[in-house]
Amino acid sequence: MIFREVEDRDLISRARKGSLDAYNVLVSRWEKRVFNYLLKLVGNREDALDLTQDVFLKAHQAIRKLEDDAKFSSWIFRIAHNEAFSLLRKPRRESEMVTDFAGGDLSGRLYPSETALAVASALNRLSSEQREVVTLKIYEGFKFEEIADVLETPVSTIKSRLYSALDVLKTALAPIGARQYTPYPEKTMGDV
Amino acid sequence: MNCPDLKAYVLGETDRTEREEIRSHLAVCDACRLEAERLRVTTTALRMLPDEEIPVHVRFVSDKVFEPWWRRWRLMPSGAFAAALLAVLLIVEASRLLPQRPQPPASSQAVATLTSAEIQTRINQAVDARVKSEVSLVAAQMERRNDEHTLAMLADFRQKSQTDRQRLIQAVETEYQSVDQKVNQAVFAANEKLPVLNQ
Repeated sequence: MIFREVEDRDLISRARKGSLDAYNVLVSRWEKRVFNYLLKLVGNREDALDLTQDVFLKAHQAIRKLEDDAKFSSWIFRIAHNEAFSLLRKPRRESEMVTDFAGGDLSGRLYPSETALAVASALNRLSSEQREVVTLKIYEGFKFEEIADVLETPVSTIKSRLYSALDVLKTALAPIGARQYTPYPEKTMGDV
Repeated sequence: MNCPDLKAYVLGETDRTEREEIRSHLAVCDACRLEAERLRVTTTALRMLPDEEIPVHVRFVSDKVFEPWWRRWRLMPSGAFAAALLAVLLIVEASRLLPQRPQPPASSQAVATLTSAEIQTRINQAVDARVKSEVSLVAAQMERRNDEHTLAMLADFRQKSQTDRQRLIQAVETEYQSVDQKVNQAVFAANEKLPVLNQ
């Protein structure tokens, strides 16, 4: 991971000097993560793809303004966050809205396994803000401070959103835990 | 007893001291142990949602590609420009060296003038077509070179990464051997002291 960071810095430095090749390599490294982040946020593959392209276009236009190369990941996700929420804020026709990516054909194509469907359904119970922090924490592996950096929001708010989201998810996914993992001790709370 | 922040613990947001404290707490608090297990199951289930492959890769190409051919011509590197110019000159020279048509009789001067203009137009068209063809060829070559360059860069990065990894593995091995040696020495020294202690 350390080497990857060093190489990313090298690529960023070259891209800043105008190397399109370097920027394309950088994009190839980050596009999947950004796409999946946006997909979980907007719940629609086409929108996520459009947004991903917009994100990298804006990033290319603004890469000279990136002050700290080490913060590229926060920076790119910050751009993605802005793009996603500007889309989510737009009033959309009902036919265009795909808010339930756990049901219907779309989710069937996105996440085929039963557990994955249940997870997608559980994620759909969250607000956009909660789903975003869960995505950044669980799927992107950011620390609380980094998420706060991406969203320009206090750490306390991030923790609060994440913790309330976990409570919702814990309840929603409890049947899976009981069925698939059954790691709980045989004793009940009454035995405590 | 105050129950610890289990969510931070499960999410990997605690330092070593906090983790040790929480583990000690979990050993004696059934309710917290159950809660921690539920949270762990939740995060494990969440991670089972697979990442999707991006349906279309995002790639950027030079703006020049989208510009009209005559502008690309202007922006072409000097080598490519020289090649295209040479092609034009060769065509013009070839047309000049072609066997001259026999001069028409004086009575058909008007027809001869018209024919000459027509020839000129055809030459111009041929030159234009050849120039366009050369420019397209050069543009295709440039794009191919760009692709090759990108691939070479990727190979270079992979090689660099591999070298760095090998260096790290070697450093770890050396460190391990050093530590192993020290441990052996310490064990040996301890063994040597044992009889003394036993006495």
